[in-house]
Amino acid sequence: MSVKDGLLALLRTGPKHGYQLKIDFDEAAGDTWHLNFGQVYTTLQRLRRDGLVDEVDTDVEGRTTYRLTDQGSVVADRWFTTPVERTVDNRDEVSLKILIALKDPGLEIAEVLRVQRVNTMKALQDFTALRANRQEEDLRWTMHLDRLVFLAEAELRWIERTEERLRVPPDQKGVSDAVAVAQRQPSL
Amino acid sequence: MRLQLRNVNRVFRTKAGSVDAVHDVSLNVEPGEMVAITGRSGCGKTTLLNLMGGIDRPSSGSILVGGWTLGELSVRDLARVRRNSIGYVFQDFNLIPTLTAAENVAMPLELGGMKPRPAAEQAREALAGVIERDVADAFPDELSGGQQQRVAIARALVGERSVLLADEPTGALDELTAEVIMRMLFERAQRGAAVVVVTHDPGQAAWADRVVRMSDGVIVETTERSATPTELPV
Repeated sequence: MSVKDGLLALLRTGPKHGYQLKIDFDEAAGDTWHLNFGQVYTTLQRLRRDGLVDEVDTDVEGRTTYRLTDQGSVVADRWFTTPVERTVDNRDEVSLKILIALKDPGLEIAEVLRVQRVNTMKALQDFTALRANRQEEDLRWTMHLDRLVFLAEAELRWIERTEERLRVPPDQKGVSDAVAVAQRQPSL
Repeated sequence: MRLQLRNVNRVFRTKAGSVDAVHDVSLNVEPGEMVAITGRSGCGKTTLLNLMGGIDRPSSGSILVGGWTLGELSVRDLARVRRNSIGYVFQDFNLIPTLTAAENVAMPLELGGMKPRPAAEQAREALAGVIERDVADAFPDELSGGQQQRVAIARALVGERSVLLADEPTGALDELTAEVIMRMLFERAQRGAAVVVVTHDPGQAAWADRVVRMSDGVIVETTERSATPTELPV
């Protein structure tokens, strides 16, 4: 997402100065994306130039407060009411590695899958423990961890499904069987 | 209590031949530890859990619960260990149909020698943690699958038994209730119980300190969580 959309959305609840916007943004992002103040300032300048915000006043400490213009309100509302277009990461390293491995009969693909699964499961265990040990009132952080949990789960499910498609009991068959099975399946 | 499995085998003999459902499994679960056993259907994970709970006996090898070797106990002593030390959540709930939800939960306490009134109070308390109050007096066939599962979980958790075994404990539950149940098992481990959960679901398995993966009756890999994760792995 763009910083522009985020700042406009945060201004919907009322005028704020740049530093407050930075604090609010960092907090909303579960402290996983920290804006630097220069970025906030230049974005606000651009929004003002485009007529989406204007300056309310500047306090004794020199902090300028911004508010949405009518046009800015429309853009902020539209951001919330328009769904985010689904983007697909076609360059995901885990899946590409496995797909490339299918082309290599000399490779122990079961081992490639196993090594990845252990690593992803460990990350999933860590996310789950982090979430379990957090206080309930820390809702944003919990929601952020939920997301990381589901992403790791999806990757594990993909790995397990791949194993089933290749029908390789990880402790038994060698790679040649797996590749033979894979090559028999035109969908792969 | 520590749970120890030493070179455990379980062979099922069928007309078609014998099947190694569990093959040479050795595993320790320490007090305060939560272990998940995972793997695809038919990998031997439920058989292994039944062996740990003394519901099934190994073909060879030994299973120790708090120092007692299950295979060396009399039927009566085995029943006592199972009742007082092991809480078990079955895949198909195993509630007694002629008892109410509260009576099902109170039963292991009463069998353990507790007077009916305090047992009933503790049962209602345990139920209150997992389900709406008004189902305490309902019979199992009046409850949904998810509700029956929660009653079964209350029955396993009541009385602070030191070994907890659960077979797909959140199968019939929605996401958030499943999380509540997994958190209960997780917290019980943090308070000193040895907890073993069998699940095919990686998200459920990830609650454990250690995830053990089985395939064809054998442990094929083990994954351990970082000791005390405090920040995001990057």
